[in-house]
Amino acid sequence: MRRAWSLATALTLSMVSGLMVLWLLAAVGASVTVFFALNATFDSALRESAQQLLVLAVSDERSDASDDDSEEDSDHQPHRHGDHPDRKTGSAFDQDRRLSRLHFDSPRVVGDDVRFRPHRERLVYLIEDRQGRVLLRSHTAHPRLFSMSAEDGFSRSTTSRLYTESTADGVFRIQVAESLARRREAFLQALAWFLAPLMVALPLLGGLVFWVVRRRLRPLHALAQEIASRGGAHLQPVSGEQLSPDLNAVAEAVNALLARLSTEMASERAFSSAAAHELRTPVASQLAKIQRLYATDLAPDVRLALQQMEQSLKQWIRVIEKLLQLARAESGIGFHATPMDAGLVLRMVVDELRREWPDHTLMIDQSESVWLNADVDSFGIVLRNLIENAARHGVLETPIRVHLTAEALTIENDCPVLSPAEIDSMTDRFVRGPSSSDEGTGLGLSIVAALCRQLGWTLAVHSPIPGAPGGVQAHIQFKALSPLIE
Amino acid sequence: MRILFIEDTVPLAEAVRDHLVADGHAVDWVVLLKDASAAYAAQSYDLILLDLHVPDGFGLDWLSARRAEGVKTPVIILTARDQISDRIRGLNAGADDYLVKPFDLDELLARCHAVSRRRHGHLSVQWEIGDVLIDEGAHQVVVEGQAVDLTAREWGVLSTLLQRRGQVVSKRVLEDALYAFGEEVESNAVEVYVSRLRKKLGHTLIRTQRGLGYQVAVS
Repeated sequence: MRRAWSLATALTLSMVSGLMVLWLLAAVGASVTVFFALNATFDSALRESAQQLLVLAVSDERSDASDDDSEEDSDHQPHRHGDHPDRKTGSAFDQDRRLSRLHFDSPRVVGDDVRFRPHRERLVYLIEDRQGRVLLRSHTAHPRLFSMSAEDGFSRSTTSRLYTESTADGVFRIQVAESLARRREAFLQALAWFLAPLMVALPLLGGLVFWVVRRRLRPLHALAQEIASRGGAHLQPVSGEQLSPDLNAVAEAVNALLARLSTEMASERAFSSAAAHELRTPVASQLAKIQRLYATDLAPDVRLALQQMEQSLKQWIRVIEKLLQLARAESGIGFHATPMDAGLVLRMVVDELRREWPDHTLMIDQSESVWLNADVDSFGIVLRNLIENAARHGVLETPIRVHLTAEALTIENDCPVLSPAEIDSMTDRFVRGPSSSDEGTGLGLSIVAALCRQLGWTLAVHSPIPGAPGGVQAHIQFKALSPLIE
Repeated sequence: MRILFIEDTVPLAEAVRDHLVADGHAVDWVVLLKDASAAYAAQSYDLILLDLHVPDGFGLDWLSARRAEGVKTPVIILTARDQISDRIRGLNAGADDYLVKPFDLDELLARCHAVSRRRHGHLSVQWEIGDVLIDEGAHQVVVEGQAVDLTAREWGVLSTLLQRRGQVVSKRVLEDALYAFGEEVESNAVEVYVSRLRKKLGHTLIRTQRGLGYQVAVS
């Protein structure tokens, strides 16, 4: 089942998630840019370093070679510095020869003759001559880092970024290597600086957004709680004070709906009362007239006819009563819940039914004061229909038992066991019980079921009565909040 | 009993009035509440039968106003409003009983007697006074084992005296209990009915308090 988030949580999660996605997209874009920019910068630095080093190394080398030549020439003939044709251009052979002479035993290692402070070399280089002899290298430059077969320009080994540069005459060649791990490290550091604020900011931002949203939604929450706590009974307007204009519009719409609902319910109640008056009074007049006629001398056939008319009128009034109850149930009177003395209603209904069913014995078991949060008329209709049903279908020899507590109402009568199909159809309209006479309308239990649904109560019909060989038990479980303790 | 009956449905009112009169009561039937107020101001009643829907107002409001004035006359509401809440409102307004239309006329009579008995602090419907056994509910009188028939007027006098058992009941009160407005009251009517009752029930049951009225002995 999908979890339903609160509005504040959903808004916070949406905003924080959206912000996180945007931030991540920005971080990825920036990282890609940084990655290429860093590589370009590092490559440029690599190239510049290689060229500078090569120039310095060749210059140094040629200076040394020139000194050697001077020493040799001074033995034979003097000449001006720079006048020697080979000094200006220098044949490859001569340069090679000079370098070979100087370094053929072992390459120079930078730092051997100067004491540098220990440091981590990020760039390592190696200079070699045409024969592949290493003339000069940085002190941590290991030959395995280099690929001297590489063409001039940028190349890449498994561990390093390489740049190779040769002198124009091809006598000297330099290769500078930079660790790829260093570049990755630099890139990751940049990336970390993009993401680190996100990790810190996101929870802070989430908390801030949640706090703001909760604070701003507080009036909406109060409005929702007020509407939710009302149920069907409280139809007074909701308070629109301290609401923002948009929420005030919601409150006004709810109030309009409540006012309309209240008017409709009042109209339906008034109509039911008026209908009861208009339908019952003429019948009452006719019944009274008939009963007065009994006091006069009547021929037997006239008396019989009057008795039949009286029975028809009484049956008609029963049907009218049930139809009015059905109309009231369908108008939603069960939603109009107020605290009421259930015991008092039970006594009133039982007092009335004892006169209507004088041959039946009603046993009432109500040992405590029972207050329910329910519509008093609905409870009266429920009681009346269930007890009437018990009287109509129960055997005379066994009393009808009514048990009322703060949790449940149980009404039992003795009769033959009903089949499951009969029980299932009992709450359908116009379905009469198996032993019902013509007096039944087949509406009683359907009215009870409809009102129980509105009241939030559970109606169950059992046959036989639990623990007994026969009979019918109607059991109504009140909802948890219905009982009220005085 | 002298009964004020407020009902605007004529056929029903006529039938109820006739039934009450046949039972020995004096009934003043009015259609409007203002007429009821006028009648009540002019006459003391033992019982009021009140319909709630009358042309000039709502019966419960009239009842509440009378109770607020301190009127303690028993009231039975006769109405088509059949809901429990209507009944509770009626009882809270000061009604003693509540009968939903349509009703059996005998049921109405029984309620009238029950309310009247409660009003006078009597719970029983059966009286045993010497050799006389009276069942007010069943309208039966047995004297020394023999059933005796009483007319409606005779029942009216006996019932009024029984309700005020032990008290001296004036001739005026008995007349009021027997005759409604507009009925001609013969000057010696009460004496005639008392005399007939003594012949049927024995001379010791009803005592005459000269200059004051009549009294039923306490059993």
